Amino acid sequence: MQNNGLKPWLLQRLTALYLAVWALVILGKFLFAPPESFAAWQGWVGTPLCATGFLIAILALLGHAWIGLHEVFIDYLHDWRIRISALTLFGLLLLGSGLWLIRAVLSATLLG
Amino acid sequence: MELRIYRYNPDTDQEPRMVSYQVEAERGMMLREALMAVQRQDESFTFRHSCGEGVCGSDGLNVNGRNMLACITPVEELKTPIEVRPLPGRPVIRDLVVDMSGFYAQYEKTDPWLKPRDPPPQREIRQTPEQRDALDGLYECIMCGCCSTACPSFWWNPDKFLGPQALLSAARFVADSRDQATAERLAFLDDRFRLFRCHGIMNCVEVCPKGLNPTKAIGYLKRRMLQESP
Repeated sequence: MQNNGLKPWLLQRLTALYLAVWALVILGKFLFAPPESFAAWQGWVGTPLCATGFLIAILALLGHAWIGLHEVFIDYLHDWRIRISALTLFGLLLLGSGLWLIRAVLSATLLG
Repeated sequence: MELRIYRYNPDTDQEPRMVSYQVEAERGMMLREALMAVQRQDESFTFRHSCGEGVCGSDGLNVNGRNMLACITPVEELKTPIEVRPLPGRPVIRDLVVDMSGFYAQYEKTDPWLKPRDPPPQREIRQTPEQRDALDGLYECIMCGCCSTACPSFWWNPDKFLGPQALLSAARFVADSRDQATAERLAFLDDRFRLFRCHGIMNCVEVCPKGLNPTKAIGYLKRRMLQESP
């Protein structure tokens, strides 16, 4: 990926597109059929179609954020040691956040 | 009218300084003429200029925080005192004269010449009017450097990111129906730095004295990459 500019650029736009569409789905849910309780919300998230949508959104968000951070670090962090350290730190942070989000969606699926 | 001009001689000065000069404004006076008037007051003041009509691209300067050509900028349109600095991000040789060799090196990397594969014809290579029109907005660049030196991505990575001027040139040859090295040119640009450091903030479009649109040219290159990618 280091020597290829088009793929990450394209991936960032595709993930942004998916996230925008998914955000509209969530917004629509809250506007037109708001859940009456947290349990109802969990139940909705836990349906197979919805859970799949959320899991793709989580992966899209992680990919989008990773590419975005990589871009910022390439721009501003010129010392490769600092850049690798920052990428490792934020990579772990993203990975941890992603696993936590996936766990939340899967637990809703199990409850549902 | 007051001009505040960046002065720096690396041989004698510890650090740069801004120096004020008074120049009598004349009707229709361009900034280049005002700078020449300053030069008559102080012969040690140095700046590049040549044609005086926005063609040679020698007198690109940063005026009141914006890059422009001094020779086609009427002083009456500028807020006074007029602050004149060298183009940003380039090493200063003296006063308003900067070292543009890195800028030219990036341009050279785009192989700015036609690369035909077929044997050259006996006569000129013909183009349809549409093929010729595709070059409009790409070939008119005078290489003043106003765009690339206004681009933060070029400031951060001037040796790796080609910059808007060189990318406009790259697009000019990719768009040319007579060129037969499109795949090679696009493969060269498919890199994390050369093209993709552009984040589309359009400073280049904002300052181009010829009204060109390097951001659009960069978008065209990305579109061609997508079309040509397997």
